[in-house]
Formats: sequence, C-alpha cells, structure tokens
Amino acid sequence: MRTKTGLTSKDQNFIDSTCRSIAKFDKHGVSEIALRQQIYMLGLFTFRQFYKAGFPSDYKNPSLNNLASVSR
Amino acid sequence: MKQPIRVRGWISTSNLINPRKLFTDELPRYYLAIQPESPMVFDELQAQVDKEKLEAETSYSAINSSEDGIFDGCKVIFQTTFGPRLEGELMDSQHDDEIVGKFVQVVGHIQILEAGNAMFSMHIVEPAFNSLDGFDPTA
Repeated sequence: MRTKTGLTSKDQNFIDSTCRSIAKFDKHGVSEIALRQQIYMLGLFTFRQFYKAGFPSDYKNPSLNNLASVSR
Repeated sequence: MKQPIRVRGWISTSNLINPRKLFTDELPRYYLAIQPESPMVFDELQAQVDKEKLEAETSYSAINSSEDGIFDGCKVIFQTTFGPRLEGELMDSQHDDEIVGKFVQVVGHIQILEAGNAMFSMHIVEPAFNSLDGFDPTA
C-alpha cells in the first residue's frame, strides 16, 4: 500500500546531506541571514515532502491549502 | 546550440584553484559542488537533462546508462578539465577553502557522454548577490 505521508529514504538522505552542508557553511562563517535562509528552505522541503506536496513554486507560501487532496 | 544552465548557490566543495587529479585521470579535474538556493533547481535541472538525453540518443543511452554525476545529496556537481573563468573576488583566492560558503552563480552546460550518462560542465563562476531576493524568514 502506498503511504500518503512520510519521508522516503531519498528524502531523508537529502535532508541529512543538507544538514551537513549547512553545518559546514556555519563553520566557514557564512552570514546569519544565509544560514536562516538555508534552514528555512530545509524546513520547507521537509514539510512539503512529508505530505508528498512537492516544492511550492513560491517558497514564501509553504501552505498545503492549495493542494486538491492532502492526507493530514 | 546548447542552452547554458545557470545555477545560484553556496559553494560547498571546491577544487577550482587546486584541481583534483586521480590516478585514472589524464588531465586535472576542476570540481565544484554547490548547494542551490532553492531545492526546486534539482527538478528543473533533471527535466533539462532528461530532455537533452532524449535528443542525444547515443547508441548506449537506450540500453542502460550509468549513473549521472550531476547531484550529490543536496549539491549540484560541476566538473571540467579546463579551468572555468573565475570572476570578482573569486579571482583573488589562493586556496579552495577560502571560497567555501560563498554565494555564486555558475554558468555551464549539460554534457551527455557516450555512455549515456550526464554531467554538468562549468565555464564561469562568479559572485552572486541577494540570495532568495534577500528573504529573511525571521523578519
């Protein structure tokens, strides 16, 4: 049966890789706003992937409400 | 003529100043891994790669192409044997570590190899500004 929510191992690998990458940037002194942007995009990716919603065309609008059917 | 690809993001790994040379390489390999500013880039690039693969139709690609060397986790990978043109402050860097975390734009092309797998070449790496149009999630 197909799971309607949840992260796949591919999603999880992407998230792990992004966490490592952001930590590396932090170590190399990337600006605070860049860190906040990266962590926001990581959170947005994780949230949308969990609901199989794909990445929104407007990253400033994370809502799932524009989807036809979302399992919550 | 092939359309160039442009990817904006933060440099995660760089071998632009000191290119890699593995045992199997005849020429040094310039390597750049960047974390794009938006994960949407992955789908857009993959769609472009799929389209170019269809157009290329190499004799090997239809059988079983080897894995593409274009993404590594959250990073987009660029590789060339010719050093890309570095612009702005990147020109003054002496070590690859100095440019880790820099926000840049990479201009390159999709290359479909004979075996049917894809890679991204890079021609210009330049400083970029205003990531995500200056969006601050805490503002």
